[in-house]
Amino acid sequence: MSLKVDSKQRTALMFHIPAIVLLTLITMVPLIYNLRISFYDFSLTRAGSRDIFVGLENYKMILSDHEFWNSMWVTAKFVIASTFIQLVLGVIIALMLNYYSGSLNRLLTSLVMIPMMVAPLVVGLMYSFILNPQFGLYSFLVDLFHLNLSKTPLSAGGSALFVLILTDVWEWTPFMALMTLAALKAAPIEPYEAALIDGANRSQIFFRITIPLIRPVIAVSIILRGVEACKVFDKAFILTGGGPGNSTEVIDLFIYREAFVKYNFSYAAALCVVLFIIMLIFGILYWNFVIGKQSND
Amino acid sequence: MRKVLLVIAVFCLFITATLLVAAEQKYAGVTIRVIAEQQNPTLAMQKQIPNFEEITGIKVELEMGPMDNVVGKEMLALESGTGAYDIISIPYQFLGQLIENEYLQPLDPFLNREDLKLEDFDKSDLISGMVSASGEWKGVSYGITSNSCIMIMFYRKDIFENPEEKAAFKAKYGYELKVPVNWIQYRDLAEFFTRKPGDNLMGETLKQSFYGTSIAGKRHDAMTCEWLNYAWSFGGGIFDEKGNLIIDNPKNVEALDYFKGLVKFSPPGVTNNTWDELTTQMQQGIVAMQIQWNDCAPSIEDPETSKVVGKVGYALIPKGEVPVAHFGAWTYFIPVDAPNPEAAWLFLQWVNTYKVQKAIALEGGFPCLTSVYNDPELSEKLPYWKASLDAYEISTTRPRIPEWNIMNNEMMLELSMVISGEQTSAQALANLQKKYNDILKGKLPVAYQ
Amino acid sequence: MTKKALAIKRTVLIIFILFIFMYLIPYFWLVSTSFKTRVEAFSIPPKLIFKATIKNYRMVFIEKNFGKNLLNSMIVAFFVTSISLIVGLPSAYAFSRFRMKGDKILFFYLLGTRFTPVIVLSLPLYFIMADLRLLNSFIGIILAHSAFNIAFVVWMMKGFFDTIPKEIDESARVDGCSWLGSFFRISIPLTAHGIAATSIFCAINSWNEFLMAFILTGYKTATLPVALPGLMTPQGTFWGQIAAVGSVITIPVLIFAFIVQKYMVQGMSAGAIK
Repeated sequence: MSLKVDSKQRTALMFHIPAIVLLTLITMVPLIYNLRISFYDFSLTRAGSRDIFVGLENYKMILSDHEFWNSMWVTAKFVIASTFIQLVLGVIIALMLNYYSGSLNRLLTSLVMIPMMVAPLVVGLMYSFILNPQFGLYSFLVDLFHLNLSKTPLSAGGSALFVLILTDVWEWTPFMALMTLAALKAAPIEPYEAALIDGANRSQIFFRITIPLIRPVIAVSIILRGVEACKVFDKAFILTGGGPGNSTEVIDLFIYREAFVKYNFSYAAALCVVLFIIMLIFGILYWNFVIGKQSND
Repeated sequence: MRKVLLVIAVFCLFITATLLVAAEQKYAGVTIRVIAEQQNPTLAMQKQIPNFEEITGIKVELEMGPMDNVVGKEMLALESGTGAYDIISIPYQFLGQLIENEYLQPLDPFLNREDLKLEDFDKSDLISGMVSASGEWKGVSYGITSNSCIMIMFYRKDIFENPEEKAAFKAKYGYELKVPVNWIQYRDLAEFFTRKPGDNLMGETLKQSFYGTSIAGKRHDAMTCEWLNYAWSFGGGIFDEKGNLIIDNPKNVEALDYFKGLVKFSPPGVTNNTWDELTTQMQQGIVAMQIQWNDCAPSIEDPETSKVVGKVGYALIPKGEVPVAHFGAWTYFIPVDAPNPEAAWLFLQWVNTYKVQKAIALEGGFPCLTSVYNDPELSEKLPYWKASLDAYEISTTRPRIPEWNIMNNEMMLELSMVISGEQTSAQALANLQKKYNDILKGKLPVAYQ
Repeated sequence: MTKKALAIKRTVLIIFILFIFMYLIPYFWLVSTSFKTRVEAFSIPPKLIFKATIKNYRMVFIEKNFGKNLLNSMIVAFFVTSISLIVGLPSAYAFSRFRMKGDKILFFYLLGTRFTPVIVLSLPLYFIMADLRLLNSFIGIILAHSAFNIAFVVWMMKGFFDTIPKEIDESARVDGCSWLGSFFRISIPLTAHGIAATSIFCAINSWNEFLMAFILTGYKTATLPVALPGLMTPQGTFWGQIAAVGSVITIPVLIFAFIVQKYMVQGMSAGAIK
């Protein structure tokens, strides 16, 4: 009996090996490398700095780096605002989609899907074109409707961040909508029938039944989007470059700048380690609260 | 007797010819790797490469890309010493850094080698001022200018010459409308020509806004490049003659306030402007004047993309306390670890021959050879030629010290916060003074730049 | 349904469709700009009806050699998909069929790759590839993209493998088939549609990706997104051409996404929901 288990274990391992090897090479090794150079003083601007050991110096610098904290704050604002707006909008769209069925539903769903599939870089590009003060669509509409809005939202810190949030919302709300829609479709019908028999009205049904049923999926979506919102590099890069000033300098843009514009590779590596740890914490929280909960259900 | 002499003469000529050809063909079959910025001059040079390959038999692999990308790749290649490139083209302000790290080979050993002389290359034809600014450090020559450019002023000469505008200007400001030669005039003109839709311009009613000027206000190299003109011109700058740090000098504050003051005469969205946006705005015909790099002029004169072909005039930047013209250049260097330095040297010479430089000039580049500079065909054909020549005479270079890259980055940040209104000029420059003092700790005064 | 309810439903539908239409305007604008001449693209008021031209496409793909970048994107996507499948399918099968010691750790690790910001891996990979002289080659970017896709393949395909009843495996084993044989000859063919969908997602992920490609590819190997910023030069931005490249980046993705629409939710939630 135990022999059979062992051979099964061995087979399982063999099936997993290619994945393990590739992952180790491409993720584990770089992470360790990152950790290593974060303890040195490597900068491309100083030959031989690759080998100057400085211990935790880079980490101390991060703690006192005003721009780093600004970047974290910008990222936090971005993630929270973006995820929240996507959630609300996404749920509404999902409810609307759910209202219709059959081929109409499929048509609407495929239209809704479009923004998600556009490459993030192209989304950024699209918006920078629309927001062009001379010939962009936005500027034209502001004039047409005599709106009391700035024609150059990208020039002011607050509105630039808002634009960035908007582009992210535009791109990823379909994600929230589709996830919610799937949850709605998978929801059992009994609670609804029971509620109707009991004479509940629409809003009671919505708040007391629908929401709790789709809550797990919503939680998952929030966390997924929250994490992935940190990956907003493409759009920020092409749309604002971190500016004006540093009002839209999200954390991955900040790290990129440190590494590839200022060539402070060790400092950037230390930043990566810090960012990774933050994400790891997110991941653990997620594992405990979401997946843990699901397997308990 | 004569016959014998003739035979000997022919024989000598034959040997010499063979030797000369041999010099050039010595490295036939070798491949050299060159990296440069993806720009018109580089593209123009690329077209000429088959000629080089014919003369020398050396194959050229040219890699190009946008500035940040290319510089990053070059820095990495130099640092890791893997011999990735035989020739690099890098902005000249990196020179100090590259020398300090001992990344480059000096050129004199090559210059002295008779067996590597390329036929059409004439060292004395190189514009010495330009070449020493781009590639010389403490008397040793390391590189030759690859793409040079200089900042001048673009202005709409058709508008300036319009009689109605001239009359209106004189009436308002009390002096003749002409090409501005100082900053007061520049500002007056910028103010005068900023118009809303419905206003008049040259007798026609405007459908969209027109602006007196446009500045580069994005947190980007373009902004610091432009602002340095104002700073130097107002009598300020980063270092004084002795090398002391004077960035918080009141003249700089004045220059920065002036720069900020031009925002209201510029199209909205200055914090997004780099050279690219400025060029587009001029091409679209919505701006009257700009301080710009002369290598953007060819695009202004390109009928495919510009609405103002033939309507733009080119002149020197207005003079403040001193006349200025910010000099920019990328320089060709031979890295220490170049696999084929001799072949690279042949390439360097070839790029700086009359034929190649003229071809580059005709496609929007700027040569570093006196003969090409003074070529009448160019000054006839290219409307921006004369202004460029005048500007090169008074060119001002930015610091080439090793710390400049970081200092430039700090300047970009502080200045952009002034343009976006988050802090005052005085504050920004005080911040820079402090930051620069930290960066240059122990190295002040900076004796050599 | 009462007449009133039906009327409401119809009205809401119209509003909803209008909303979706306005939502998609930015994208339609991009695509239409790619077919406009420069003059028309910049005209105010913006033109809805214009004379379409393919000049931008010709200029950028042929004269500016973006056709090469298009080819690069295709090469990378193809190899990334292949490698992701070759590596991910067995692992997905193993998760579905076996209970191995350390399952959870591996699963958590795969989850981790999804949570890791791209820059955190791109930076060291830049060095490692440079040291190995692989910096501007295809190998670096293909391996990097594949690693990110494995998690995705594993989760999606695990779900599909789970739908095949274990009894089929059992009977094959009884007939003397090895696990490997059962994997190849039974499970794979039965999940062909799932594999197709997964491949398409892998290809899309690689095709759209920017940061990693930007850092790891060079002049000759740049994919379309990487080459795109190159059209914003100091001498002017070629908006029509940018729009053309943007359209080419997005349109194949949309076509394929439409095909795998059914599996969209599964794809997006891959691994997040057990």
